[in-house]
Amino acid sequence: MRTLLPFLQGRWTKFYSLALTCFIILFSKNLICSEDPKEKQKTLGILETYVQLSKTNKSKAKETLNKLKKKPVINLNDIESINLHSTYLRSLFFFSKNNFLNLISNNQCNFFSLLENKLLGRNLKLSSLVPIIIKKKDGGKESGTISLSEIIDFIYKQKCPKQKENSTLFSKKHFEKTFSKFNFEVSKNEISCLKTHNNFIKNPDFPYLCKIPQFLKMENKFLNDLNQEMISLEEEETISDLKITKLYKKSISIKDKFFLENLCKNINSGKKFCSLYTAKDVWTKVLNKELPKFKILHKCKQILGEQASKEVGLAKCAKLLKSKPNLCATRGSLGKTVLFPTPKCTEISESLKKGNLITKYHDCPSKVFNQSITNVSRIILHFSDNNSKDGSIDNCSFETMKTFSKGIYSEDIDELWPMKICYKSRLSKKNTCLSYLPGYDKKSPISENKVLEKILKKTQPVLNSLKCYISNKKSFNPSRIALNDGCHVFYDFNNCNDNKCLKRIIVNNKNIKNINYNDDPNFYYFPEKVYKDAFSSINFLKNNLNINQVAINNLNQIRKFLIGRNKVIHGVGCIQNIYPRHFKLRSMNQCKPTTFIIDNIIEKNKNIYLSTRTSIDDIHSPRLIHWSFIYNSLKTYQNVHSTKSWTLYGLQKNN
Amino acid sequence: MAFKKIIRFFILLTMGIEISVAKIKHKVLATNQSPGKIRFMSNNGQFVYYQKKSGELLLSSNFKISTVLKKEKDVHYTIYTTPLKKRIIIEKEKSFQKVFNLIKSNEIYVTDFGESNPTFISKGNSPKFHLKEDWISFFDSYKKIITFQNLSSNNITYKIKLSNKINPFFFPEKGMLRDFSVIYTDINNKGIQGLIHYNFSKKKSRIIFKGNNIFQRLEICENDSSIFLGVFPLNKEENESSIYFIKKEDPFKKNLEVIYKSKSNDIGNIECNFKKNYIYFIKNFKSEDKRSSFEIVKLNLKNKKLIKLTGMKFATNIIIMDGKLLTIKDGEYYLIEGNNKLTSKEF
Repeated sequence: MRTLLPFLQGRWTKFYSLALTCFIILFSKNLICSEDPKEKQKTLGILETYVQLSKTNKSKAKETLNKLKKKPVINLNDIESINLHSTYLRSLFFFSKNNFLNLISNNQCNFFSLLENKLLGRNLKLSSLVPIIIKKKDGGKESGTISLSEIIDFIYKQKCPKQKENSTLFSKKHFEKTFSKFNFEVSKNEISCLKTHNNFIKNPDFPYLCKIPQFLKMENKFLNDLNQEMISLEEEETISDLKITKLYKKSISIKDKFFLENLCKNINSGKKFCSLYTAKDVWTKVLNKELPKFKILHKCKQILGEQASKEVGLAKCAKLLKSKPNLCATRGSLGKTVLFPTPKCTEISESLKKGNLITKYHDCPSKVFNQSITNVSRIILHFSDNNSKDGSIDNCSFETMKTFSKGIYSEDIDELWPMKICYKSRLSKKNTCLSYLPGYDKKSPISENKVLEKILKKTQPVLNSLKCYISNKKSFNPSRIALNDGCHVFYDFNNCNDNKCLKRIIVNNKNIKNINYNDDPNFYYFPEKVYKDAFSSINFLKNNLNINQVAINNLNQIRKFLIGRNKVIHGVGCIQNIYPRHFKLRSMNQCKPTTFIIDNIIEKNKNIYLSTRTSIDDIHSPRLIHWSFIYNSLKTYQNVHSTKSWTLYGLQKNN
Repeated sequence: MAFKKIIRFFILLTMGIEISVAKIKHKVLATNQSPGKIRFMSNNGQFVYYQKKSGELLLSSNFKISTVLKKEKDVHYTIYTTPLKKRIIIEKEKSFQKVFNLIKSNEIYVTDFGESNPTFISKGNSPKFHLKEDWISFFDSYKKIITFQNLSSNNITYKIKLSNKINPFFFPEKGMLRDFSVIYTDINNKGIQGLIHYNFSKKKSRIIFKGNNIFQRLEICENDSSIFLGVFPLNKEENESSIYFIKKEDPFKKNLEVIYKSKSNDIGNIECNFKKNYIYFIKNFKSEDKRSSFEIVKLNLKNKKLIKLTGMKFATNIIIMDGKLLTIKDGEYYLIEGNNKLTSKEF
């Protein structure tokens, strides 16, 4: 028995098959219907030509199928070979992607396994009837229809035992076991990587692997299809496709999914495939899922806007950052709120590659009056699973403040807590202050809204059901809300001092003046006193976040400490010694203390650099600072510190 | 003209740097109390302004101790002087360890040298004396306003608003050529720094120098007759440093006189008030194995010879304190030029 597929004989090269497909599609007289004479005069653009060809192909294939459907059912036991109808093939190739078409010419079995895995054509259903021409055992020829799954079964039985086996191995039942045997590790060396690429493509498993990214992409389409009318066989097939997609989703890691996506997209170009793995920059490493997305996402959002949230946008941004190193020096931070210029993309990339700090948000240093709060908030967000809201320039300082307050406050320190709302008691006539945490929170009894409600009920003739709403946007327009109802708190822009604006409380359209905010967040970063439980934000943090702090005194300790995952080092030093290019030291014991976080060490050309973010730096743009500068800054600060304390410590989660 | 420029550049390059091969020994600054407390010490040790742990600023002179500013918790004082020693500036930073804010406004006081009767001038940061200590300038980082105030007559105050919207942590360099005539650095909306002249009587401004790119930092050092304009890199990748000479009486010369140009990644921090005909700054000496090394050098303004003064590897600052040229490295103050009148130990 012989299967007649004129395109699939071994002598056809990739080039010929493609060229012929294009030739048939574009020039076959049969394919293009007779046109209206009026339309003939119209010159079609590329897109119009494609749309028209697509319609023609569809209708031709449908026409042939309808014609052949009327014929009696074909008995497969009686035939020697099956030939797919040329109209069907044309239509199939027309709607197939080039990268998969290229695989056909090498192997006939490949063609059918590509069909089996729905990598050819568009919206292929294995249960659908397909027009064929058969050659019977007695030599007679006949045309008719048969389901695609039956043809594939027939061919596999006759010609492709390996594919038949693969079909079982990659079925829902055996998938997880089969998949676990694959190794998707790629060498950083280009030659070895190209070899890996070639091996995968030549492997008969290849179409089964490419089905994975294809199906993952089509999940929503499967769901949509199920909402539409379809025949029961097709519905069953779609449900089965959906089930296997869910299995892929559940059992395959992000890294492996990306590997397969990259492999199947770049069948024709091993170099393109390998470029993602051999690249040394952080931008490409994020794209190939070697590093988490947050390392570049927030920077990219500032450069490209919301389009960076999508994979295509992020890839575009990564390309930009790689090709234009100076871009990072001027763009990527949230507003103009950080020390300028930020480092070049090349320096940031080096820092971020092995940096430990988790930065799934964006903050705005100059908008926070006490810059050590920015540092503490960064530490809190590193060690806790809480995600800060994605910062906008309007509310970023508030988000930092909120993270800080929630991370530090506990009832034990209520008296020491510096953020208070004060009022004069009606009974005692005494000034009373209550601690609060900034912002609206439905649950917390010490959230700003709850504390205000409590005070208002004591001091004003208001209903028990009164609710307060807090607006923390600095660009908030009070005229936009209806003030007649309830309690509203917002910034009073006519009452600003330095970097801070006072707040206005409006209750039922009345300005409340006898409630005041006493909210200067003054904290010692490190304890001022030597004893163990001395008051400082870091001491509270250690308890609340269950983290352990160890003194770091020298470079060897830094080297050892930073090997651990998620470990970071923090400290306080004089900015004039950390950044002597930006801040000049002119007098004896002059020092502007600043907090910083170190999360990586890089030894280059016998220079030892620490990946450093001071609290005036963009969280996504660490600088490589020489260890000597950092050490110098610590020693200078120690000189002027009230207890001559050493201020460099490693932080790690307690086991 | 072009030929002249080439020749000048060639001379600058080839005059070379006099680098002593022998290991440079550094003297530690001799003090009669903990260096961490000292805010200013006169050359002979007769006048010492120092801060006590209680937050009190004291003056010790001729075996007498007097209070300059009363004790207050968590304050830090910085003192600024010039070689003239007519007055001193005191910058008082409140909440020194509780509120870390590089751009906060501090209290600025002025007192006569050797006296303990400070007068409050204003709130601001980065204060500096000009024109024989008759003027003081300071900066408000939030309002982005530089104030020039005459100390003899408090009524004369000039203000300039910067156009910088790019860098919230920028401290402008400031200088005065004469009454009504000032220079300062600013950043344009592209992030490029420029040196600008402003004449208050004519209400006219003029750009004296503009940087080539965002990675250049401009700094100025002024003495009685001249301005030294340094153009140094802001990051470690750029390799071009230069110093220009500007006569106070003729700041608008078309081509500024280059007195130093190098393809090295220098830090700068020029000092021009220590010794006549010399300026000091921090130069990068990259070794053959690309290891960075920053040292203090002095440039002879007459023969343009450069002399390396330190062998510390990472000197990053130069402090002038009444006849002493100091640097702080790893928490220790070293005497680079000048004499220790008190006993000293060696590095």
